Amino acid sequence: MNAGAALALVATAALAWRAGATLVAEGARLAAPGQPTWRQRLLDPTEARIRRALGDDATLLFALQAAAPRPALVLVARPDGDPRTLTPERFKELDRRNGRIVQLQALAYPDPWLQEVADPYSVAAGLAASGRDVRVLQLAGDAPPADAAAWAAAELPGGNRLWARP
Amino acid sequence: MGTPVTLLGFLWTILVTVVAPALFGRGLLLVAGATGLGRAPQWGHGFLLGQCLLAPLTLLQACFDWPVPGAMAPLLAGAIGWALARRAASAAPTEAAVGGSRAVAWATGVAIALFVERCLAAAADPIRVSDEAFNWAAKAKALFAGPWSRIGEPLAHFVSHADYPLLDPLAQMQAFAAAGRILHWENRAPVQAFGVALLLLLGPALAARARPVAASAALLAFLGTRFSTYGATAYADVMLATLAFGAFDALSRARATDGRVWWPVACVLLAGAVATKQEGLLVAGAVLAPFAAERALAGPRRAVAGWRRAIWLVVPALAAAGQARFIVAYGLANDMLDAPGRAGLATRIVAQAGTHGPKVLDYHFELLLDGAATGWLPLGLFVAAPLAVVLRGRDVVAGVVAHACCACGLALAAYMAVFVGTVHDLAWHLGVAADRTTLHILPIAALGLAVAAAPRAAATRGP
Repeated sequence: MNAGAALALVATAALAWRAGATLVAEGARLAAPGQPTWRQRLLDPTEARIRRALGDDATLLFALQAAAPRPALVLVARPDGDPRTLTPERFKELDRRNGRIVQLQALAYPDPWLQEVADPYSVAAGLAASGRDVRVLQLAGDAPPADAAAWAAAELPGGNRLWARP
Repeated sequence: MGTPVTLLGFLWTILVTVVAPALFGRGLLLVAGATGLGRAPQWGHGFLLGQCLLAPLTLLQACFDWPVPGAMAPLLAGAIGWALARRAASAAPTEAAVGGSRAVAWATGVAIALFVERCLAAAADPIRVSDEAFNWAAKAKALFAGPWSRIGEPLAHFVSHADYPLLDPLAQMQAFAAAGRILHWENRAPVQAFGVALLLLLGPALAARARPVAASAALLAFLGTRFSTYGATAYADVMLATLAFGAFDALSRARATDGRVWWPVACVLLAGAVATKQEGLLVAGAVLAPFAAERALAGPRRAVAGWRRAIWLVVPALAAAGQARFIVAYGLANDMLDAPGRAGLATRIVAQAGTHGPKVLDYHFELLLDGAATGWLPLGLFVAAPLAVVLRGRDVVAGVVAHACCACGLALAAYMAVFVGTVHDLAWHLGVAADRTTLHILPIAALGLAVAAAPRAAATRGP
């Protein structure tokens, strides 16, 4: 065997090794439990896909969309905390909350546009004064507005509320 | 409960966003005289060309808040493409489907089937997390929902990295336009179709230039890289890899012919690369550079002979200018290029070379050794090409191997320099981005490696 043929053999063997690894990995992936069924891939309506992905939060999403359609802007309190001083439990809690909000945000837009801000009630009051259709989503556990009497609340599933300036 | 209405809607999305652009581009390609092209590259290049040419039309319609039904333009373009292809005498391919190799044809079929299966599995989950949701789909939603006169506000507050270029969001907007509303999973389809187009181009390119076993193995090795992971999402990285490889293939074909058809095609695909990601400009430059250098080194007569064709470079330049104008119009900034209060990228690269340089080199070396990430393809190319020169002579690596080595080497070097100049935590930035930036050159590396190692006897210098 000449040197050129040896190069071809070695390189082809290395490529074949990688090709084999690809086929083994793909086979393991296809055989792995938990793969979506063909019904879930092709036939399920979008609402069912969202329910599967979000769990209970899907109900909140659909209720929010019904209560505050476009062009409403819905503000929600931004999770805050300094990562350097947070306890692991508090970090997990904020991470979970942030994960909820960003998924709701991605799937809701633009019906409604859900936006995190540091102080949603004062930002909403300012925007409402300028004529904007703006609401505040109070997630269960969040604080209500300090001047609750100046706001109207609509109940949403899961102990959540939607506040608006009348 | 499942419903056939969902499936029909999905098929409609695929018709408007995948089939129609492919018909349009293929028709243009054939009527322009792309003779002798196999069926697979006809559809692969056709899809890329169609997407690149229809994207400005989608943007224009969005700017006017969709004055006509969104499906009209792609379907009309598809019908025109179909009519053009029927009229073109060259519609009958003279190349076999994948270069005449049954083994590579099978490997290509298996690769496409596995990739499409992944894409359909991804469809079960709506787009809701990561860059797929916050960068790409969010921008498509903001631009589609409008009204255009007020898109600055969602671009500033809803979209993450709104400065990123527009081709990926525009492809997703085609899906929204076809449905007349915002979608949550069907809009992956036009982006995923770039992955199929890539396999349709890579299979025949390998079959034409490398021995069947090496070609088939290289294709399947490529399938096992990050290509499959990112290609099944709406991330723009496989789009960029596809457009870079499409441009590389078109430039190789232009080099082997008079360039009348393929040089303009290459320029349109380079424009597509520029319009896909910020780093598209870098990748487009790396792909073009070896071909331009070869032309320049061929002597003044040859360089001057083609100067009129250089006018086509206006197309990628326009894509870059359009992107710059969009950024300025909406007051956007790029975290790497326009970091507020920081030195420019070049200054940072020099200043941070001592601290970051070794770590970046080390990380990339490990990445090239990581078979699951890169399939050993760039590493194999950089080892096999010089060995092939020593063992078989320079003629064997002239053409596609030399171009692939230069393009991959330049792109990797440029990416590493950008990482050295990062404004972010280096370990984090490498961890979230380096495998994707390397992905952009993997198809070119796969082709170069297979040809360097096991060239087909009659095709060592061909396109």
